[in-house]
Amino acid sequence: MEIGNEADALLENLRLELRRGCLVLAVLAQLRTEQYGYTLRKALEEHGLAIDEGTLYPLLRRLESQGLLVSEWRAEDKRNKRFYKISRDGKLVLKQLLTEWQGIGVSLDEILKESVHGTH
Amino acid sequence: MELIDRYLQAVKFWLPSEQKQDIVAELSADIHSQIDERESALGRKLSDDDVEQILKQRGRPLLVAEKYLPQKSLIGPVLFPAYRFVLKLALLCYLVPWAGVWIALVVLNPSYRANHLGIAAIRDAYILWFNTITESERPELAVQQMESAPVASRPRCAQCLAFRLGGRIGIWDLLRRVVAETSLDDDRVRHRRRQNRSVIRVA
Repeated sequence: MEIGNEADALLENLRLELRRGCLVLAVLAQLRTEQYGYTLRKALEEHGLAIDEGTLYPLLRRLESQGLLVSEWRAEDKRNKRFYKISRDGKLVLKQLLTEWQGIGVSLDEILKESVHGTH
Repeated sequence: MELIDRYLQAVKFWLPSEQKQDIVAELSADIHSQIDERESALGRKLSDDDVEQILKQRGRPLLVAEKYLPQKSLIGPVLFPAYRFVLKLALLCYLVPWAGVWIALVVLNPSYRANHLGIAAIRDAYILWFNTITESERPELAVQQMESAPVASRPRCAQCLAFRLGGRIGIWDLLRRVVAETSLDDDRVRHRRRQNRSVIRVA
């Protein structure tokens, strides 16, 4: 079933690409409440956006270096954990990204409606 | 614990020095959180196999560390088509004619064949493999073969080795002779050959 596998692989690639685009938005939105890496991952998984830690942690570092997140090490249950939270700049960026996101949604809706009418 | 420490050590090796403490600390916290959760889910302490499973799931240390590093290539994606084109050009216009000339010389010119190190090395290796390693009465046979073969065609290194294996020359003599006889200077070799036909003298 080679053809089947190829199609699956293609679909998987495209799905991943789509999700990758939304990742930053999801992480910023989730971090409106303070969390550390592990709970963040669990929360995203519950909402249906499973990310593996190999992608998540570098992303968190990058966002922090860009000033969109703030982090601090704190001890909880005798373990040192790094807690992340969205920063002020992050909140602004999040708002803009959400506007962008909704804009994309609207555009897509229009395109889909159009093509439906086209086939009729 | 030790397994985790070694894993983290392996990841740390690949990380840039400024951030590695931080990154590894975070990784360690994450792994321990995962272990805690798994323990509370299973209701028992995790065995070494379980910990190994968890670490395997994360992936190899190099791959884990690589995600933290900036994506760098020696030949960047923009330049790559140009690089490939130049490579093809170089292969076509340099290596192919060079190889053709070499093959022609080797086939048609016996003196080139005798003097050229590349051929001698291949021939030596061939003779060494078949004549000195594959069979057990090898050394005596090889020595006999060498002695009976015409002098000009005797490969030098193989000859030396055969004599060594036959017990006729000491190891230091062997090394000295191999170094002396393997000359990169064709003129010197030709001159020496003209001077004394037998390259190896049995003591």
